[in-house]
This record gives sequence, structure tokens and C-alpha cells, in this order.
Amino acid sequence: MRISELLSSEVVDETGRSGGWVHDVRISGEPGPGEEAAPFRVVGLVIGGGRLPHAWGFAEGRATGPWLLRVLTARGARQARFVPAARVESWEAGTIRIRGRLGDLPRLIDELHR
Amino acid sequence: MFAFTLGTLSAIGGFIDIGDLVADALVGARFGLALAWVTVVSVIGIACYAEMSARITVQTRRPAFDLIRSRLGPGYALVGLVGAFAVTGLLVMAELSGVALALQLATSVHYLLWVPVVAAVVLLLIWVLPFETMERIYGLLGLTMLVFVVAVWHLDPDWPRLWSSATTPVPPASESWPAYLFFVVTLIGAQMTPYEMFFFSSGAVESRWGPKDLTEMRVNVLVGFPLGGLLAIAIQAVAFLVFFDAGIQVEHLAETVLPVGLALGKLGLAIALLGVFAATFGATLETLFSTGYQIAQYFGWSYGKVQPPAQAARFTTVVVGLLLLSTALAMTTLDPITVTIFAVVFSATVLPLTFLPVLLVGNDRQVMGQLANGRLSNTLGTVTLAISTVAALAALPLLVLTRGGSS
Amino acid sequence: MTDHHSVRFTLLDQQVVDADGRRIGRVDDLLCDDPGPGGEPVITHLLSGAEALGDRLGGLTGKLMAAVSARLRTTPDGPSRIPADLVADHADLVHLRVRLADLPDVAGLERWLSAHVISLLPGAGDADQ
Repeated sequence: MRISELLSSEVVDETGRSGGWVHDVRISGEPGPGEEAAPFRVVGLVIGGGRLPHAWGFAEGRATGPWLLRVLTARGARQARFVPAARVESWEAGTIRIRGRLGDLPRLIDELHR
Repeated sequence: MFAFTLGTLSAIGGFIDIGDLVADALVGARFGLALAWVTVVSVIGIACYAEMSARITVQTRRPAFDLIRSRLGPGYALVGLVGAFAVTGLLVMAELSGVALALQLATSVHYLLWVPVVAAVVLLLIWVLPFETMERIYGLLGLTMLVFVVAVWHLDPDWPRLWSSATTPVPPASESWPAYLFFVVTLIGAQMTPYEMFFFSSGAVESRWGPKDLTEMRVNVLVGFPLGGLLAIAIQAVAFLVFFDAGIQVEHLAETVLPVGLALGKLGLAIALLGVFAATFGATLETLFSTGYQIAQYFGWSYGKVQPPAQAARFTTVVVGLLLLSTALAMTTLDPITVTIFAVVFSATVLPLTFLPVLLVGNDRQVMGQLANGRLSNTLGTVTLAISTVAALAALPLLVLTRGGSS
Repeated sequence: MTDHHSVRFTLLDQQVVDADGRRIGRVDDLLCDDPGPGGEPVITHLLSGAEALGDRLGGLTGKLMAAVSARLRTTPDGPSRIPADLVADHADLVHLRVRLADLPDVAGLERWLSAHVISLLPGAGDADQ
């Protein structure tokens, strides 16, 4: 499947409740021939807060300004939640089902500062 | 030192293109200097973003157009791209007509016969000339536009009246508020052009600027752009002094330079024509390339003037194709003034899409490190973005409401 | 595991350059496998080119873009793909370990125009100093 399909999918928990659209995909991996090399892989998904805080970099904290845009995206950035790959039941383009409930998902800011 | 002066002078001369020329002359004839404040605001805004994008280029060693797609996403970036393509097509069309009309004035050969000739010369020059040479020539020749400033002096104006007009930001008795606001948007679109913003950016990449070149760049911006703005206000002033009281509106390209002829005689007129020629012809080369770069960077193609044309085939095809399209449009005898007004208004509608990614990257500490935006950059940048967003939203309604500014 | 990154700022929409530093396109999309429940999908290929972009954009524009590009394609199945293990570095741009010449599926339009249109004109092989 394509990353673009993931980015336009909806996340649904085991009770059928929708967590909204996937706004970002978190990846990990080290290119190159060295010892630490690892293939690129999807480690998790991000939902909640609307698209802009993620597209503009405020949700992951790489953008801290300008003040006006940070303020406008602050609430959305706080609402973002991280869906670890381990929780995904089915990787079906369009609808991604997860085990457990939406409420158990960690907030993205907590996940990033672990 | 020489390079620095060259840079500043190019910035001054390169400020005025056909959009500015037409908009400033039109505005001066109808509103006097009541819209000069828009030029002041535009200069501050574009200077802020020119500095920001040059700083980004210094840090990332990539040209500024590179950022747009990664920050806006391919969807919105495509909207901006299509807008830029359409605007450039229209402006180049108007510029080709402008040069052809000037040649018609000089030779009495009908301008439609000149259009393909001018297009062929442009094609030859973009194939052969290095980019920086073009930029320098264009900028320096554009300095002849300073003749407009001289003309203002020579017309021995009633200075208090000029001052009063400039400090009364309301429409004069003969004009309506919608028309006034329409021309606010028009001037914004004409004077805050993406090309100016990225003016230093390409040079910075090709000349491999480092952080120490930043100071030089900032001086270029702080001196060059305001002087360019002064030129723009001079064009407004000259049109005001000659046309306003008589109630004459600017309807033909020739009328934009006529006031200089009245002030300074044949020599002045010749210099003004040279300046207009440089501004329009030079701008044709610049905007064709600028749009070509923008498209190439959206799709990630290699681009010309760095690679030989055969290795940047898509880029070359797009630039040549755009020129041919504009030539075809120019042959339809559409009025260059109307076309220019439409072009700058459309440019205003997509302007926020050019500012936003630059502002976002400027604030990205992971990319910018020490060179990230400070308070001043961010404040001016946010205000400019806000103003341009309001203008963008108001542009098309005002265009329709005032029927292209005619009422 | 907190050293994961947003795909938007690392791979997606980033410029791809080959081993010679030549720009060959953008990462228009990424292909990953389906690892089943609880697994981590591995990114197998970078997708580059107007066809991949058109598929991603969707809508009328996207479909048009993809359809035109598919017509010009020389390979039979799907948009141009670059195996993900050819990525050498992605600190600022996505650098590949190989040259464009080793990637016959990529930049088809570029090659076609270069061969059939641009190279026929004089001066096409000269670059600036």
C-alpha cells in the first residue's frame, strides 16, 4: 500500500469509534551500508488535531513560530494522538482498525518526549 | 565592493516590471499619491521575505522555490504553481506587446509584425545567456527608470500638494471606494512579486554564499528595495502631475512614459523608453525563468542554466512552451494594459501561498539552526502574510464589482 | 522508541538526487508492505513521477496527470519506483547510491524530450561555467 493511502485513511478502534483521519505517518530507519543501517519502516500513525498543526510542523515541535500560527495550531497540536504500529489490527487502505480504544492512545507530545 | 553595488543596483532596477509600470501609472493618473502607502507597505513586506528566503537559501544551500511543495503539500503548491504559470503567461504576453509597440513607435511597422521577432530574440537570449548576466543587465538597464524621479523634479510640482495627496489615503472625489480598494489589491499584486522575493536566492545558490554574505545581502535588500519603491512612487507622481487634473486615464502603454517626455523632452522620453524596454524585455527573460524554476522544483526536475539544456529537457521545454504560448496570446491583439491588470490581480490571489512556506521554514529550528527567524522577521512576516491574505480574498470580488477597475 | 520522524519532513515530497548530485525528481509517494496485525510496514520503494503524484492528488487534476503520464511510460506496471535500499542519505535531500543511468524507469519524460526534441537544437549540450 502507499503512504498516501495511509494519509487518507480513517482510524477506527475496536468499538467502532472513529478517531478521524491519519494526519501523519511516523517512520524510522537508517539508510546506508553501515552497522546501524536499518530499512525504513512505519512505526506509527498520528491522528487528531486537524491537518495543519502536523503539516506545518507545530505538532512535533519543530516549528515554534511565528507566534500567531503557533497560537492558532496549539489546540490541535495538543489533541494529536499517536497510534503505535503494534496496535494496528488491519492495514487496509481507507480504514485502519486498531485494538483497544481511542482513549488509550498516548498523546503525541507525550510520545515524543518519552 | 563592486559586487555589492551591483547587487543593490540590480535590485533597484529590477523592482519595476510591466506590472508595476502599468499599475503605478494608472493609479497616479486616477488617484494621485493616495495609494503611495501601499507601495511603502509592499516594500517592507517584500524586503522582509526577500531577506528571509535568502537567509534560508544560505542555510540550506537550496533555492527557495524548493520549500514550497514540502511545506504546503503538493495540492496547494500546485494551485500556486498553476497561478504562477497563468500570471507569467499573461505578463510575458503584455511585455512582448509592450516591446513590439515601442518598436512600432520607432519604426512605424505594425506591432503585430514585431511580436514574433521580439519573441525570437528572447528565445535566443534565454538559450545563450547565463542567468546571472541576464539578471545584471536587466537590473542595470532598469536603472534608467530613475529618469522618472528626475522628471518629477523637473515638473516643478506643488510639493505640499504631493504630500497632501500621499497622506490622504482615501479615494479622491472622482473615484469610489471599491475602485480605490481594487487598486490597493492591484498594487499589492504588482509590487510584491514572487520573483523579487527569490531574487537573491538563485544567486546565493550559484555563487555559494555563506553566512558572511548575509550582511551584504541584507544591505542590498535594505537599500535596493526602498529605492525601487521610490521609483514606483515617482511613476505614480509623474502620472499624477500630468494626467490627474486633466482627468486623463492611462489607456495605452505609450501613455505611461508620455509624462516624462513632457517633463524632459525628447532625451527624457528616449531614456524612459529605454528604461521601459529594459523593464519589460528584461522582465520577460526573468519571469520566464523564474516560472520555469518554480515548475521544475515542484516536480523535482533538474533545471537549466546549471545543466545544459539537453540534460534539463523538461525545464527547457516548459520555458520555451510558455514563451510560445505568450507569443500566441500577444498575436490576438488583446489590450496589454487590461491583460496586465488581470495578471497582477491573479498574482495577488496566490501571493499568500508563496509567503506561508517561507515563513514556516524560517521558523523551523531543525532546518535553520542559528539563522532561524527573530522577532522582527516574524512580526513583519506575519503582518505581511495577513495583509496579503486579506488582499487575496478580496481580489476577485473587487475585480468583478468594479469591472476590472473601470468604475 | 522516540527517534521516529514525520514522513512529511524526511522523505515525502523531498527532492531526490542521484549519486552525481543530479536532480531526478521528488518522492511523490512511498510504497510499503502489509505486515499483518501488529507489525511495522516496511517501506520498499520510493515512487516518483507525475503518475505517482497524480494518483496521490486524486480528483480530476490528479487523474488527468496520472493518465497522461501513464501514456508516456515505458515500463508496463505502475509509476516509476526506486527501491528504498538505494537511499544513501536523507539528511537534507534524498541521496541515492546510484546514478540516473542505473534507473531506467525514472524520469522517462526527461529522457524522451532530451532525445527527441532538445538534443536536435544547436547548443543543447553546453552548460554555463
